[in-house]
Amino acid sequence: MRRDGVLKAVRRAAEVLEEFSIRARIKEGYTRVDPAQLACAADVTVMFRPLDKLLGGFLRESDQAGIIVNILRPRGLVHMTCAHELGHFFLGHESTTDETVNIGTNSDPIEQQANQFAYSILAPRWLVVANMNLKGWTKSHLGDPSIVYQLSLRLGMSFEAMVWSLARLQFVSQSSAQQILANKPKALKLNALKNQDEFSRVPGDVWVLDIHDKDRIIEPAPTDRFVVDLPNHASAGHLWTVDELRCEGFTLEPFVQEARTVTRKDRSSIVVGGRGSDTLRYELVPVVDADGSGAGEAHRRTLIAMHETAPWSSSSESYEALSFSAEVDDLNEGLSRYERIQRLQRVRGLG
Amino acid sequence: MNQEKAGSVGDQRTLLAQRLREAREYVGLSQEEVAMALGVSRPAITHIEAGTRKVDALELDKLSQLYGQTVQYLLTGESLKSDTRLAFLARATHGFSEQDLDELSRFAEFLRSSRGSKRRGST
Repeated sequence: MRRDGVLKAVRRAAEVLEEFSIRARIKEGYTRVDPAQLACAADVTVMFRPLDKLLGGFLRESDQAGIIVNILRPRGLVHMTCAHELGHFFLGHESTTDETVNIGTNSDPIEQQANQFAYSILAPRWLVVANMNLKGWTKSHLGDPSIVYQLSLRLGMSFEAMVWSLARLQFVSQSSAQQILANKPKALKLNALKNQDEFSRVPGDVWVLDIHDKDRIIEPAPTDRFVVDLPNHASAGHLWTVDELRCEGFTLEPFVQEARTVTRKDRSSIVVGGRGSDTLRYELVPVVDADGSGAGEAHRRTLIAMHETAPWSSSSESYEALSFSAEVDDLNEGLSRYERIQRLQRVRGLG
Repeated sequence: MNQEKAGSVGDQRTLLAQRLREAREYVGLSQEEVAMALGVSRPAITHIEAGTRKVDALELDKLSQLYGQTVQYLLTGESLKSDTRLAFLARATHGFSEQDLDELSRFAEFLRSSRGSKRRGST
């Protein structure tokens, strides 16, 4: 009976992803499913509020369905809560509230169904595989916690939820899941930044990008940082630079060490996206906006473009190039961004 | 019912202004966004929320749709709040914190009043 409920939830999630053409979003360049966008498309109102003990709730009132999510929780958990409450909606459940959305911690069949739905929405097999293929990662790479961390950012999940997703999909064994979880995201972030000081504060996440992320649309938080591993042809006199015309707001600053030293603590010799000493790691450092503007819908997506040049050559020919977009996943109190845009457009249409 | 006593026209405008501000902040819209949707200047919204500019009926209707509140509520403060607490909360066996209860009730009320202002699809 319980097994049936779980299977039903998994099937329903697949139907929903199909029904709302989520694959088209991934084709467009996005790397994850946005549960708030899905909710808006399904006419479910999502509200982000500071809550005390609750992670979230699902409400049916009159003919309206709504989801309230605790905005004070980490981003990955906010997404997971939203997906979980969306499960209550799509599975035809009654109004309910949740203090936990961890898989396996709640024995209530209704909650188990919603959990399975949430995991199947945020990390369906095909999407995990698509992200791995793009990055050139195979199952053997998934033993590397820093790769799992990068995967979690691309799917918009917490590190922990990502590990359980991989175990659930049987991409990693239960025992290696436990081993991966022994690593803390904080250490993985510092490692990516080549920061040896374990007491440093890194408020956001750290994205490690490389040539495989070409043309992707990543969805970082406003506080996130970016490092880029770029092919190193310095000996040939080629240098990387950001496109000044196309990429306002960032400068490219090389780290002193080489990329291969990044994963020195790991047992495996896998380098995150890099190719040993063939790549150099840079940090994309945002230029502080002089006028403090830059907020608002129009500025949410930034194209980040860089290319290799030969300063000694008179031709403006560039050699290798990398560009991707960063669309800020700016979680604020109030209705979800999609819901707000929809309301604004509807009212504007009234003339 | 949180209906205030009928005061002077000035008092009423101040209260309307307050409700408009609160309702906007609840849905998370900026004054700029609202101004653009209404086709007025941003300072106009500031003035409306300070009670120093009148709101016409058409604007109030649009604000009611943006904010998911009834015109009735914005004008008088009379809400659709039912005396019975959320039915499902009564069934809950564990206790809720006051803050969470308030947030759930407020959101439930918001959903109820959004009902009339949402004109979507063919339903």
